Amino acid sequence: MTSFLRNGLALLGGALALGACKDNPIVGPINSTAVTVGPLSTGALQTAITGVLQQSRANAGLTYFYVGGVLGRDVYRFDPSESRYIYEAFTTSVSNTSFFGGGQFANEYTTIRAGATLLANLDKTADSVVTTRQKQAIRGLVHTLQALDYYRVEAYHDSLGTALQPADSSKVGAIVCAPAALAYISALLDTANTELLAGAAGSATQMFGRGPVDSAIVFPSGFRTNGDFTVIENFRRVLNRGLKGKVEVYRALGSATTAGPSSSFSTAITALNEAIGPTPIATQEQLNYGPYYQYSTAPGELANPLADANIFINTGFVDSAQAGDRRVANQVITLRDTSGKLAPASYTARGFTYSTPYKPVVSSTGNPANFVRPIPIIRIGELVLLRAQAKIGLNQYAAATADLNIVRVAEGGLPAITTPPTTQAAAITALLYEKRYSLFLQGPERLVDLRTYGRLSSAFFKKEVSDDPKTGKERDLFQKRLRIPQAEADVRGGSITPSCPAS
Amino acid sequence: VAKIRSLFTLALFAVSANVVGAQQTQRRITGRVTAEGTGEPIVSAQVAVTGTSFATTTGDDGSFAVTAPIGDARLIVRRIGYTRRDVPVVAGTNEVNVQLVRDVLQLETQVVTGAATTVSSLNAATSNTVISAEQLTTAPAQTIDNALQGKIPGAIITQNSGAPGGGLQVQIRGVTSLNASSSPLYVVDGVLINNSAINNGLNALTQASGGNAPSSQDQAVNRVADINPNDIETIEVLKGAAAGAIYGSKGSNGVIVITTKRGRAGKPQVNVTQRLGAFDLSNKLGLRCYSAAEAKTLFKETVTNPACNDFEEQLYGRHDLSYETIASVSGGTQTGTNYFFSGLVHNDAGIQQNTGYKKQSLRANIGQQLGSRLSVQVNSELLHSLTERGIAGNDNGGFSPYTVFSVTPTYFDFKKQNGAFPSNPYIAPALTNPLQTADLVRTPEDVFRLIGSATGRLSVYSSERQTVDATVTGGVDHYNLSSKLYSPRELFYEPLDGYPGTIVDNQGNVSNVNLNGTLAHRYIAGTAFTATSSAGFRQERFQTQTLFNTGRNVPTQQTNVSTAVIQSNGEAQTLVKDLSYFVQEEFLTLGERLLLTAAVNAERSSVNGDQKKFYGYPKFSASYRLPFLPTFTDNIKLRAAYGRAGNKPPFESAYTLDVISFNDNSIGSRPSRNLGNPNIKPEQTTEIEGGLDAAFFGGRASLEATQFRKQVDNLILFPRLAPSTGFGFNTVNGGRLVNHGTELGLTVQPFRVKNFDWVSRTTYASVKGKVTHLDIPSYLYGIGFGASYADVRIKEGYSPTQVIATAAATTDGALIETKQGDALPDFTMGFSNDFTVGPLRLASTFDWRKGGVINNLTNAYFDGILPGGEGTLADTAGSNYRNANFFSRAGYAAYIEKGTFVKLRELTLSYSLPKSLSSRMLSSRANDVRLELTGRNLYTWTKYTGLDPEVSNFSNQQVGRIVDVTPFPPSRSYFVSINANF
Repeated sequence: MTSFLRNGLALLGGALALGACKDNPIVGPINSTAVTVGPLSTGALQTAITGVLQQSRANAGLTYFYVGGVLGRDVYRFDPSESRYIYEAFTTSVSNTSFFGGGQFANEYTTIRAGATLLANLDKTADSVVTTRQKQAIRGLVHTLQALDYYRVEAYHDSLGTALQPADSSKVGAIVCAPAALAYISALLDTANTELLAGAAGSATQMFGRGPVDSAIVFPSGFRTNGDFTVIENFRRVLNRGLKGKVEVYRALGSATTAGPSSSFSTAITALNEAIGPTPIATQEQLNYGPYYQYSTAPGELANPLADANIFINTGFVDSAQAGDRRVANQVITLRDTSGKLAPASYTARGFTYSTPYKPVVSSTGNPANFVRPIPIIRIGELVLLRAQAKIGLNQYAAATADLNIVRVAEGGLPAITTPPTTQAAAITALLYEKRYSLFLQGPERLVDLRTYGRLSSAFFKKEVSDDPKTGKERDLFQKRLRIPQAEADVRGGSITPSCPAS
Repeated sequence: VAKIRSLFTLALFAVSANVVGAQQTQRRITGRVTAEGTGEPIVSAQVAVTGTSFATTTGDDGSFAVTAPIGDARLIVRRIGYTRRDVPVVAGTNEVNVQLVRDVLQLETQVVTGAATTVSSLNAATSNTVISAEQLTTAPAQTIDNALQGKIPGAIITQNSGAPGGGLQVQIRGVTSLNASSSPLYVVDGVLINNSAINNGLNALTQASGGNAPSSQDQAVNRVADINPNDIETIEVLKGAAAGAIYGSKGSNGVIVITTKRGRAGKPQVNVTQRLGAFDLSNKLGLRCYSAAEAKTLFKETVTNPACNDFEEQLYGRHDLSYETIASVSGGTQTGTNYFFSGLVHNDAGIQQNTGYKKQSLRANIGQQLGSRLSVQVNSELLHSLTERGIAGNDNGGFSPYTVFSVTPTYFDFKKQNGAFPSNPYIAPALTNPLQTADLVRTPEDVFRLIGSATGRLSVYSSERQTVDATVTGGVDHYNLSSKLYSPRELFYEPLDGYPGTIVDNQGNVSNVNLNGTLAHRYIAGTAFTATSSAGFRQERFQTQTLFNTGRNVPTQQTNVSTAVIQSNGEAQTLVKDLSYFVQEEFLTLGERLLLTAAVNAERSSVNGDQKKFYGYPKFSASYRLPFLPTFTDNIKLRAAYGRAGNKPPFESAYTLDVISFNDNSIGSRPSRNLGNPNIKPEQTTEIEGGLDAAFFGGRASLEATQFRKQVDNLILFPRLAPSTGFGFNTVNGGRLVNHGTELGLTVQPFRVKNFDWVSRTTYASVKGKVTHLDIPSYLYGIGFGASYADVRIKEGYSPTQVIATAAATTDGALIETKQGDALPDFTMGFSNDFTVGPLRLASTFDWRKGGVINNLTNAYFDGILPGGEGTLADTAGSNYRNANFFSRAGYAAYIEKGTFVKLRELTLSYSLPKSLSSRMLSSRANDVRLELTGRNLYTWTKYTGLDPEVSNFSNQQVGRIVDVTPFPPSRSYFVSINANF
């Protein structure tokens, strides 16, 4: 072999080996950007804020609005391919490993984490990019949204516990009992309130004041659907103070067996008065005032989750309504055959048949408007009812009845109650009636109320599934809360006992 | 890196500069190699002079001429399919004729030991299964993984559903990873094949996983399905890490090395096969028939003389003509050209309307010798497949056929009435009629694929004692997938979501490119030893891009996604770059009795946290053929091997990504729930295997026994994080998994008399795994729909496939977790028997899988859905039992069953036409004309109550294969074939 060939070959081999190395070996993320840790530009800030709002909307999407209604015996979901909507609710027990029983937990903490990540980066952002005042407004916004998702976890999990999320994402926080969780949320709302007040200091009215950020930050239009909640003061008043009032009502109510501090009723009324404002409320428009989630069918967007052909209404919801209550006519479709006869939809799961001739107007997929219908995060109508609830707690039945009548007349088209109830039980019955029909499919409100007042039982409701005739074993257990997902327990050594620090 | 690079360059220089020419007196030995018995010349047999590097191959007429030293010499003559002969040629004798005996038990093959090195299986130190073309094509198979079922001890090959066109998983030596890749590496002629599965977007319709994006419940086909089984010469399965070490972090799941056919010197050989056949629904669930009284009580309907329609037969009862045409031409010229051209037209009609599998392939393998030192070989295959799999499996809308069957009484008639399909009131509001669905829904999945490789071999230096060869191989595997789903608005279920009509348009663009270079030096010290040193590099790039578009509310007859009112789209991409360097030394000594091998492979990959770091994959092995043998024993080899291979972290697992979403026209961003790990590194599989291979009675029996221990360290896990942290999953290197296993193979030829031959192969394999260490808390793996159905608990001391389920223990709702069995079978056995009586041949393959549990949720659709807890399956007793069990204690655990089965995978009866007849029928040039009757998956013996114990609702999975949800039912196939050689 000639040395020429030999060396040529060695060169070729060497060149190939070199060529192999020459290709840049580093491949960065290509499906999305890696999460930023550090200061944010105003554009990145806008994106992060929208991300938190969108995540909050997405959480409230999947099952949030109607699982509470299922457990609270207002609705069903008849899905031919998924019996757990029925079976977990009515025949044995909710499972901590299923999407149903283990739901309304993980996603809420994703919002809270997204908010925490945003705030950590905001702290690193120079004041020349975002002013200290704007930062305060953003902190107030994020803390309020975090409090909202904490409350949603608490509402569904109650005595099983609510986890407090530490800043360090590699650590798990304490899981606290319901009174401690509500105290924490209440304090978080107060912090946010202070921040929002500071954020609105001076001449600033818009969430992000005037200046370079003003043009960069855009709020979803749901925040302007029924009132302008991009105005810091409106946001603070209705969402922050309104939620504060709601949390305080349930702090005071405690559980069916143990009442909370009654002082919280007064705190609630103060917060709710601030949220509702001094103007007398009399119209549906006023009751609808509040921030809403906006939905869309555009690519990559989220459609209204309640537009779902499988949702039906429990007959009890219609049967218990007072004659002429237009909230029933407005919200219920009655299924009839061509001859006009009732044509109930029925569903059999594990041998038990559920049947109803009613379905929600908002669930009809035949109406395109349902896919883009906004859903309230909180609205004055709910706050007025919460104020009534607080007043009932303080045994102020006449004042409570005045609040109930506002909603009853404006939304239900019913005559005002002229003789206030004389007992707390009767007042609660009147309250639960208005809340049931005004807050239908707006979250777990009914579940929370029935549970808190000890009214989610066979004493108040007909069992969907009878007891086992052979063993006498109760099969319809009136599930009162969802369970903390198994994954949470696994990380914590297998079981969870919420801690209950003295507040 | 720089250091390794310069070392490599230095080594190249050193080797090329230091080899020294040697001149000696030599002689030429000529002769002819023929087959014993028939006397037919054996083409392309290898004739090598022992103790030297001199070797040649026989020509068209079996003749050869080889250089040999003066003095006594020994020739080793071998050819795949024949037992090798060791022929002494004394000094002065320059002509020798050699007869070879057919190696019916396949005792001798060449097995891969390195990037460019092989060794005779007589010396192999690892248990590598070699499957020949003949074994592979006994009965027609849609895909190569179908053709391998029941033939490889230690490999569990399972189909995910009965839908046509593939979708199979090959698990070699148990579960080798919990969250990293589960697929073995496929290498075709040096090209690293992409076995990705692109989900077709069925989810946009079924909402099995919700949303618009494609999901693992789309019943995807893993694309090794495309390879044409008929072009394959051999398939070699490297099972362990010791054999797979050369493939670094792609080797721990086993490596399947496929070599396609090449032309051999001689006149053109033409082979034509024509097959005609049909598919047939092979199992039904059996739906209940109702009396008029039952119709009254169960459905509250008055029906006089209720009919009992066989829905399963009506939907899946088609037997349309299927066919396959295979043609090939091969040969070689005196000027050093070899060629193999083949074509395939394959058309399997599905058992359901608008389903089926079509494949066309063209292959050209061309080699050319350029002078005495350089040869080039270019292999290429262009193929197209069109798969239509219809709608089946899990769905959340009420249109998967078995979902519909579960609620519809059999007296309802789905068939057209007055020219129109009736809507089905029993599944309101979807109103699905599966016959209408089958008639109108189209699911074409087109794949165009090019697999090509070019190899250059340069004999840098060659002397009597030394050779230096340089090999460079470049390979490309590229495919385009275009899958569509048309669900027109006229379908009863379509208006249900408010948007009648759905189109999914899914485009995948996938390419693997690899470049390998090897320099091998062989030193033959006479009969004392042969030392083979090799060094080289491999560079690989894997890239995928998928774009999917979904359209809802589609105008009638439109097939263009842009005509839809509601549109959404998405994209997913991957890009992985790997580079490795390796060195290897093989030392064969003691009269070719002892083989020692040591090698190390250093590899970096862009998916690791540290993208520049090289990870080492060493191997050591030894095999020894005993010199003193008991009576009736031909050969006993003891072998032991230690090796390390790896498994890469999933793409982008080093990063926590932003999740981008939209809210009212603004862009939102939040951290993904999957927490990235910047320190992630490959799994490290260390395997020790030992075994014994023996042959007895003059090649009439052989035994192969292997024990192995596979330890996977740095186990890549996606532990569920506490949801309260705001994250769902993390990717960690967090544990250790150990698999112990046994593999046995016994091949015997009880009879070999004139006109009667019987060869029987029996294989046995068992493997048990255990998670021996976990750095993180025990967690539920998440195999399906929640632990109330079934899940796997990953826990120290547990099998990684131990199935648990939770059920309510007390009325207060506390859930208890109970063990339900293991997903992996206790053992698998394969039985292949081949009888030849004169011109008749009967061959069969049985596949036995013992144990392994399946979560039969299909039954859960049918049980307890009628008043009184009755079900809609014909087996009312079974249904009632499960429903009662469900309430009494077990919950959904009542749906976990044993999946034991025996399947008759293949049955072939073939008849070789007498020459006189074939000449008259075809041409005088026709020889070996065979008529064949073949069947695949003809019969299954099982107590499993589902459609098929081979099932996986979530496609290929490391541990979560066991979920059965309303799948496409299984089918058997029958073909009649004629095969002729010219």
